[in-house]
Amino acid sequence: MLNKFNRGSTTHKVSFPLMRPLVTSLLVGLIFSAQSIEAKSRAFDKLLDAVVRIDVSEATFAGGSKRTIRGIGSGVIMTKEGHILTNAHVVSPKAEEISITLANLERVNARLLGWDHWTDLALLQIDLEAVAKRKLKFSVARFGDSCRLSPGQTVYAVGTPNGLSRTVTKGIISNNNRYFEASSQIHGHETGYFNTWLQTDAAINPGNSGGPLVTEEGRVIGINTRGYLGANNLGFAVPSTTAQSVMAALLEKDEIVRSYIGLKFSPLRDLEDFYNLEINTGMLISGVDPGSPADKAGLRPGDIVLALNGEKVDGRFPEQLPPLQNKIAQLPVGSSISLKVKRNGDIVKAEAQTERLESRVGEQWAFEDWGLSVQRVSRAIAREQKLPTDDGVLVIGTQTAFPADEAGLRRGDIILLANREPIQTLDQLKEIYKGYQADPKEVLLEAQRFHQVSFYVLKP
Amino acid sequence: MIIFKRLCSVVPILCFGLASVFGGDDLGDGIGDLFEQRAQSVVAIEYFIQSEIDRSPVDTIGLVVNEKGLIVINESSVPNWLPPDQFKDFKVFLPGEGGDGYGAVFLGTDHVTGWNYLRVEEKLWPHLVPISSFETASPVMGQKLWGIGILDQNFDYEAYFLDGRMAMMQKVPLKVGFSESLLASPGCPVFDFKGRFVGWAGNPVTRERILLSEGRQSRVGFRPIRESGAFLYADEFFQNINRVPSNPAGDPRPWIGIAGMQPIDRKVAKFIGLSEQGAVVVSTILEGSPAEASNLKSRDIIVAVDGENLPKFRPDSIVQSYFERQVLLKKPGEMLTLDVVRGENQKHIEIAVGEHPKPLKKARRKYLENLGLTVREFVVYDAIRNRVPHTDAPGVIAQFVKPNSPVHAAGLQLMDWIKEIDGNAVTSYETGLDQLSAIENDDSRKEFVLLIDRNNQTSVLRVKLH
Repeated sequence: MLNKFNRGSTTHKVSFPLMRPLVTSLLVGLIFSAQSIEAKSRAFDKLLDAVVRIDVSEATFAGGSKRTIRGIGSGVIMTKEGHILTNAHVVSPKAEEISITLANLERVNARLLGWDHWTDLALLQIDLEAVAKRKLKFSVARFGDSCRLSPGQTVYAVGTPNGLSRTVTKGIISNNNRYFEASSQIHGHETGYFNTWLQTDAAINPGNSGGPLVTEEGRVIGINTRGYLGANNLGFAVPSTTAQSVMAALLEKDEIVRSYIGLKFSPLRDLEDFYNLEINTGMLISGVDPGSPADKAGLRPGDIVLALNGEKVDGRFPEQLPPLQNKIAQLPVGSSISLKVKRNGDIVKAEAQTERLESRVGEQWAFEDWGLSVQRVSRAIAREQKLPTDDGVLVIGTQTAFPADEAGLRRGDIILLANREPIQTLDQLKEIYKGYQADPKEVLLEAQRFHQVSFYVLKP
Repeated sequence: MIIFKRLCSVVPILCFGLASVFGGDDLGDGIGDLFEQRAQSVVAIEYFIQSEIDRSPVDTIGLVVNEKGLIVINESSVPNWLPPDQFKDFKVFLPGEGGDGYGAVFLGTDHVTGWNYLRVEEKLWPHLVPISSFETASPVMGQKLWGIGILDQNFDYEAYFLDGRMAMMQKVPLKVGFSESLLASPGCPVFDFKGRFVGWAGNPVTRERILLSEGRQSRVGFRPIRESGAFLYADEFFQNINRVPSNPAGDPRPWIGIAGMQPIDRKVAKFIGLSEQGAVVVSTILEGSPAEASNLKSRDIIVAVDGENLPKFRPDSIVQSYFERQVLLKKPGEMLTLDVVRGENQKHIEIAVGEHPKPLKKARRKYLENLGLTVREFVVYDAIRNRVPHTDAPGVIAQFVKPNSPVHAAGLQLMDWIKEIDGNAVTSYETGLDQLSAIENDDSRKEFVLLIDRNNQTSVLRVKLH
């Protein structure tokens, strides 16, 4: 499938007959190479001018109050309208100020247009008024095709590692289809379910995040996203095919709506024989979220999926899982999906209605007079903790010596009642808080910790 | 080398003990006789806990209860979740005597106090002095008290003298006295200077200290191992000592079927108008339990038991142990009445106390050596842990996973809930055990597949056999 060690099509696209005398071929080769290096450097310089440094001030609610933290990342300008592609973990909806440093060292603000933590991508737009007023110039990068990369191919990472702007590092594609089990999170948000990664040995350090991984011709084939800390040159980029489609969707709407049925998959590996399956078929269901559409459809862990909507499924290897997950995610919300599964030698058919994919992280807020930061209980958390409903508000932090901390509330508690009124939504607690601010009086909260009910009094 | 180290650690204690005996003026004459007599009410005990692949030795201290060789051991010295048949080779030693010890039989654990009972072989009876043969007294604040310490095995469990002053009494919920210094080894008796029994030493409390090291300081807690300053009052000891179980597995245990009780702290109590008393809130009512049948609800606040308000304790959390004790003192079939606050209303609830469903230590279990796995019956404890109704919970639990065994290599972990074996649902302990035993005994099997539930997540494990 892959051309191994096809070291860049430009430098070595030397198409002379192999039988020519050695001297001639060397000469021609040298001349040819010199020309293409020049051509390449023009394209590459243009790419460098499209890479930006991003300084972000972001609100955090973790410690019982709203605080601002600062971070540095990278990004790449992809359109003439100043659209910048970066990582979702560099700029999030909690960003309060986004400052861009262009390659010509001019600074300009930008705003967040769209955010997709599932693929760790975010789309920003430069303040065009400022650009026009100050007559700022920038160049625009172009996507390459990440599907056509082969291991061993030379690539460059461009960005702001550890705050060192416009750093270029060089490496090769170490693996063009790397799979990670979805273990990583962006401020608690899930990521990495729907794509595989490009692995490179080009040095990628903190601050490189959001910057492009490019070919020798300066084409963006990935967005640098992760690296192993403490390891030598194990960096990972979201491939441009994913980045391109996410960017197109985020240009339309500020978020991407995906479908969910509540199945967790595992690779079947060499269990085909064990389950007596047709060759190259099957994907193992390792988990079913309680109360999810798949659960309602009667699917069970241990079932082997043979076909999705009539299409044969091959999920024997881990790197085959994200595209299959993505296939379900791409369906319109509410559409029905038919699954053919094998269970104990029987073929079972199941029909499920997809629901909208929702993050486990709900809306966050801080009640500063109480020293209490919270988030709405999401469907995922309610299911994980086997709560009967997704009512309530989850404590994510308390500030020492403030009323919530003094009362004994702790991170992980779920507030269910305030002054004996049920709290179903964050807004209901905001109302109680407003009343408290207007007239500070004791508030009785009922909360649950590991299914243990406790009462707390917030004293002014 | 180990013995030498132990010697070093013990010598200062010895010196301290000797200094106390010979250095104090107020000890009076004859303390040596009082000590000698009373040390005969103390014995050292050794036994083994047998597990699937090894046995671990335990040594502890017992107090002689009567002239028929009945000995009581405190609650922390015998693990109450293990089946009694895993406790092997009980031996009783007289302090300082050495030798091979005397055989003893484990009689069981009382479910109210957690105390454990032994009966030693008859030939030792004449050499023992029951603690009940001494007068008792209630200590007063500041009173000087003394107790018995027991050295470790290398010193043949020799008894030594310790003393200190009564500093404080707390109800936790039973009356416990605290001395300002270490007074006795846990499990040993404490006396006043007239030789009257004042209490039974329990586990030591953790003391806070600042550790200074190269200019840096940190807060640390430390707890002595062989000595304690805390003791249960003698009257509480005698009120509870006759609860000897009728069999090693324990007597039928009363049960109302509630879980997750939390104390109401004083700020909340004041807010809801309960500042003069204690209260506990109930989190979970188990399906099919007596509490459910009597319409007790989750979030009810219990304020009185059998018409008596719950007392106030410090810290607030003690009220929970008090309440549990009130339930445990009932017998299955008796009535328990509760006054509860539900929202704005007060309710009176009568519960017919039931018998506890099979406890962990009585759960059937079997070690499958080739697989490297002990499977155990699913019990109510597992149902609470996994948030499922205990009345409807098939499957078996991995109670032990042998390191480097086939199931260990497949990723099975302790307490994993096995729900399916080779795609077949485990509907009971018997079916689960049958399926696994068949695999265990089938030499031609190359692999099998388990579906397990761990922390509410299921996964499929593939076990490759040798």
